[in-house]
Amino acid sequence: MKKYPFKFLDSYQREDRGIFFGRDEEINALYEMVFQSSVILIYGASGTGKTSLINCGLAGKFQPHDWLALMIRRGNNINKSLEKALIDAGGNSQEAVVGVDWFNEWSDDSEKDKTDLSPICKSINAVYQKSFRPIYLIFDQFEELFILGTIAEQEIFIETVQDILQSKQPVKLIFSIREEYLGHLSRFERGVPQLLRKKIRIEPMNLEKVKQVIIGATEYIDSNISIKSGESDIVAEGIFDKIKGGEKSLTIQLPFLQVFLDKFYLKITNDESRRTEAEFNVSTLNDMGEIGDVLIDFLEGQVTDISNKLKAMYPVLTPEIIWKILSPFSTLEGTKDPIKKQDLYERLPNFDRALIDAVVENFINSRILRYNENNEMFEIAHDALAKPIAEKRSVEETAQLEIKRLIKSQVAVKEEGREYFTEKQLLFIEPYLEKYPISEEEKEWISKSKTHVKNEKLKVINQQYAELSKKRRIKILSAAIVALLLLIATTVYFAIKAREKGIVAEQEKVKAENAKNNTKKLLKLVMQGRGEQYTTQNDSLLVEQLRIEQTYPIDSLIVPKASVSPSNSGSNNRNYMLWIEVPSFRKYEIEQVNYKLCKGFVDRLRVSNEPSSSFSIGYLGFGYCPIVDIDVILKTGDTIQKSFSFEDYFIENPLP
Amino acid sequence: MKTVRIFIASSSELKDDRDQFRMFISKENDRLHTEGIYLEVVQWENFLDAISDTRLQDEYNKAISTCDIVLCLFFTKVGKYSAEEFDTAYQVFKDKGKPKIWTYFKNAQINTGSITDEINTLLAFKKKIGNLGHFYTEYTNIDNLINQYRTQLDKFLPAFEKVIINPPPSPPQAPIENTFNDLLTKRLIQAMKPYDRKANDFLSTYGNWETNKDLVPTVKRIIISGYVGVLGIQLRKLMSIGEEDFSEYKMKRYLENCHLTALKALQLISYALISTLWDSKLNNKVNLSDEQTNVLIKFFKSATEENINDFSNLLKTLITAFLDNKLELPISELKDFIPKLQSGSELHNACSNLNAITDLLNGASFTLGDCANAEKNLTVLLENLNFLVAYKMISIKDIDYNFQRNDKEGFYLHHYTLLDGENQANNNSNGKIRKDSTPVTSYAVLLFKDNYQQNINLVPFIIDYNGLADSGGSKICFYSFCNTFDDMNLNYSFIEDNSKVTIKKSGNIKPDDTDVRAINKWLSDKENRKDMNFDNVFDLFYKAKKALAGIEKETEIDEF
Repeated sequence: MKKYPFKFLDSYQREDRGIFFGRDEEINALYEMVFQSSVILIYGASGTGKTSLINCGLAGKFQPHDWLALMIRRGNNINKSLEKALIDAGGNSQEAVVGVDWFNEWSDDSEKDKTDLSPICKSINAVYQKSFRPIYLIFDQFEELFILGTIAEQEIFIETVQDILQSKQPVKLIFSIREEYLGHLSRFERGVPQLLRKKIRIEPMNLEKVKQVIIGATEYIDSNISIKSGESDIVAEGIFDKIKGGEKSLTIQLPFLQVFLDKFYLKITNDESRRTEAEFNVSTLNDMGEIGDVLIDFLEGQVTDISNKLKAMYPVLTPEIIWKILSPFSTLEGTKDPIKKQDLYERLPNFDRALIDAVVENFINSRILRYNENNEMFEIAHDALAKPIAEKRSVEETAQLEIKRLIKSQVAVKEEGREYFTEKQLLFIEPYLEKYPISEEEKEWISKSKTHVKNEKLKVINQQYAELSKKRRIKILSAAIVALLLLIATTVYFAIKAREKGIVAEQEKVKAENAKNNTKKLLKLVMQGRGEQYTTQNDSLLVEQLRIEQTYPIDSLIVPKASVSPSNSGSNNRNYMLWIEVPSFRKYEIEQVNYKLCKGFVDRLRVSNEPSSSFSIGYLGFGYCPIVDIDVILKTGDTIQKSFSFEDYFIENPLP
Repeated sequence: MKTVRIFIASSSELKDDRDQFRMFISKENDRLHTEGIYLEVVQWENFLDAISDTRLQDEYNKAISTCDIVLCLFFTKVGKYSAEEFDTAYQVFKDKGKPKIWTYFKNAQINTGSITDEINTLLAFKKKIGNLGHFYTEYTNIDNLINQYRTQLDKFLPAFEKVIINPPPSPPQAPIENTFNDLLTKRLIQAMKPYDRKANDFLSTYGNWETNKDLVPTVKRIIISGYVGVLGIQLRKLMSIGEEDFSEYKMKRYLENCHLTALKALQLISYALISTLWDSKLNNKVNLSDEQTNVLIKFFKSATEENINDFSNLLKTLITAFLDNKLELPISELKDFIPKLQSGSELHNACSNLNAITDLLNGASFTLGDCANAEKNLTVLLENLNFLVAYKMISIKDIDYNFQRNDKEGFYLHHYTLLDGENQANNNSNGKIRKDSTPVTSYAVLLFKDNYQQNINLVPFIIDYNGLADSGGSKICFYSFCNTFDDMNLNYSFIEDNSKVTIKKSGNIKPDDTDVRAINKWLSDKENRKDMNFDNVFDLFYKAKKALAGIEKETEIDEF
């Protein structure tokens, strides 16, 4: 049967070498290096195909009896992962090693008593003796050791590598790392000087190589895709241009190429099983969108599909919820962030676990997520998909993540060296504390920081006060003598005036008291005017409320609201009104509010930039959208995404 | 709709895992039904009620033989039924090649208080299936199990479809016992004994190693590291292929590598002799008969690689030439070798048979019997060359001279790589260093026995490409053939993968040695030194050719 020649977001494996094109030069260079050093470093940008180059390109150069590759990802701890990979390959370090304790000048340490070997080297020895194949330890995504690993973990690893290299076992080490992390290798290089001697950079794909990929895969004899005769070059160049989009770059990213090719195939065949034969041609290609759309399209398509598919079982499910479930898989910066199932549950405390399971399951089937057996973590199949997920986060969610990182990074340091949160940070953290569960230690540190900030402030005030009184004291002393003379002279005068002044002061006091009472009354009136919930509150709470409204980030203060009332004319249609509730003195921060209505409305985008009406819109109609997405665009340019559920509204406010 | 029957065998303690697994299967069915596949689970709770006690074993046999996959899950114990289920499945598999047995051991925390004697059933069972050579994996929790299973299932289902789409498969064959390298290992360790202390010590300590399967790998390693340089590399390959599961591809590569091992062994000795003969010829100590010269001319002119028979003949000619001229053989053990190379001798027959492997491979039809024969013939050859175990092969890189103020005399630092079966896989770009009072030839591949200074320089017939290019590590290449009727380039084969490496004259002309400034400037460029090294190999070959075969390279083309 003919085969679908693209791998989508998976990396190519040894058995795919028939359909792996465009990397001959790099494969040959890498293969030569294997015979030049025991340590090889492969680096390049994310998504340049480093993993495929090793697993498929390099592996394909070897006969099966010359190549035993163990792929090692960091997981929770690179040292444990290495151990596990070896044990899984049959290397039980507990097994007794039978060696012959004899050596001469030429075979010196290579024949050193094998019982002296470290546990890792014993494991390697055992793995080797099972198959007599040279072992290649491949550390994929090695940057994870530097992004996520502790110094202690890194140091143990460096020692292990030194140990392996000295053990003279038939083993080679290949490290694959994203190039932006090369600088992190300096300590490692000090311990293992040959680390950077044999290295190869995997360049992004240029037009020539992309052509090789497309033409190679379509001319491959068992491929179920072909290109319309005579159009090979134009189609390949067209695909390259589409993926490049408006950028001036001479290269493109591989995962984009794969997603694009997959979309292209589906556009022609509509066959999800990818069995139907397809012919690529220029005219269909011209109808394809640009890559950015294709990629986000793809992910969004999956989100909608999965939402529809699971709707029957989980009626609460919306695409928005799916995006929220995906959110923990992406870092703040929009790169992938592997996560254990248990941690995922904890990150999504208000979600039904069965629902999370079902969503994850479906993303695995559509290859957007994958499960890594070595570390039992789930992760996004590729960084390229992490970005759109990060971009889908609301301002609030992003802020939550930032706060989480802030707290974690501060508290991760030992208490002696830890810094207190600053007043500004505390202000930033506070609004989210209720929504985001934190540990006792973190809680304690926040409260200690608060005390610290308070004490610092007091200190400053005391200092200022002390300075002030010092200045006063000098003035007072010199003035004292004059004053003494004057005192005698004026005593008589004051005695007369004193009575008069006492009366005025009394009057002033009454006036001030009245003003204060008036302010409180006014505040109460204003706040009561803003809703029932304020009527019963005492003064100090109202003041606190005002403080919150003044200082909290605006996204936490915005609440979409709606009202529905019968038509004035008494017909069946109703008046629908949508607005956002926000403290009046913060309205000026908002530029405009977009209300996105669902299908069925003639005017699907309604915009209000009228602060005085609380940015309201309204319509007279027979129907409503179950959920209205609302974009609040701030003057700063940020967009806050909110939504309003009429479904929930009508549950709380049933129609008469 | 095609039904794939999955039998689950597990002890009662894993009930939860089993139930979750069933749920997974039903979810998979939702997905797979579009592809026309239905997974049916057969589980023992359902099953035991349905069968009578007396006919238990038969019923198992029947049920399991209708299944396509048997999934065995174990945790802290192996119940009586589970063990029987496994045994039955394994027997059915051996007889019929079906069902697939996938065994998983749960590796999770247990309460030590809950451990009972039953844990022994687990340990015994693990050992037993280990001895059967049955492959098993571990899982830590149900997610992990399901994901591992999904991966295996993905690989299995396409094959399953094929089986169903195609006509019924031919009757299953009896499983093939893996006996590859048994004979080779047994006889070579004995043959090595007189020349290798490791082998000697091992055999005197573990006389009964054959009965202890844990010791077999050690014997194999002694053989790999014992046979000199390149032969160790080849033997490592053979040992590795031998460990693989049976397949046509395995047989093919085993035959290829038996052939290559024999060829490289004969080339190594022949090149050592040619190299030494050339030295003697330069000292005018050699007179070659016409017959001997003709054999050498054939070797130097051949535009394809000479075969095993050719090298066997070349070797005989070379030894005769040494003996005729009363020259000391650089490999003294070859002194009485001539009778072994006469036609009709055991060694001669073994070489002819090994040579004929190329025909088998070209015809693409070979059997297990062919592999056994190849192994036997190669064993004969390597037994006869057992003295090579006493030799070492090293690649010398550059040599530093170190002589400092107030030193009485200086010393030399020889940078080298020791070539042996396993070190090739572990060559370090730094190489090793040996301190010596005298230098040796640099950028050379040397063969020697006891005295390092009395070495055989194998260049230009065996070269270290990476040594010459100063790129770190070693890439040992054997001379293969010369483009005699074309551009005169030299072709070598890289011992690791038998790929072709071509050496040609660079055209980068070295300045005259008298022009100190020019030559120093030229030499300071690494690329120039590299060209110089390779050009040197090229020139040496043609000098040897001229000296031994009497052929000037310029006249080559005219003759034909």
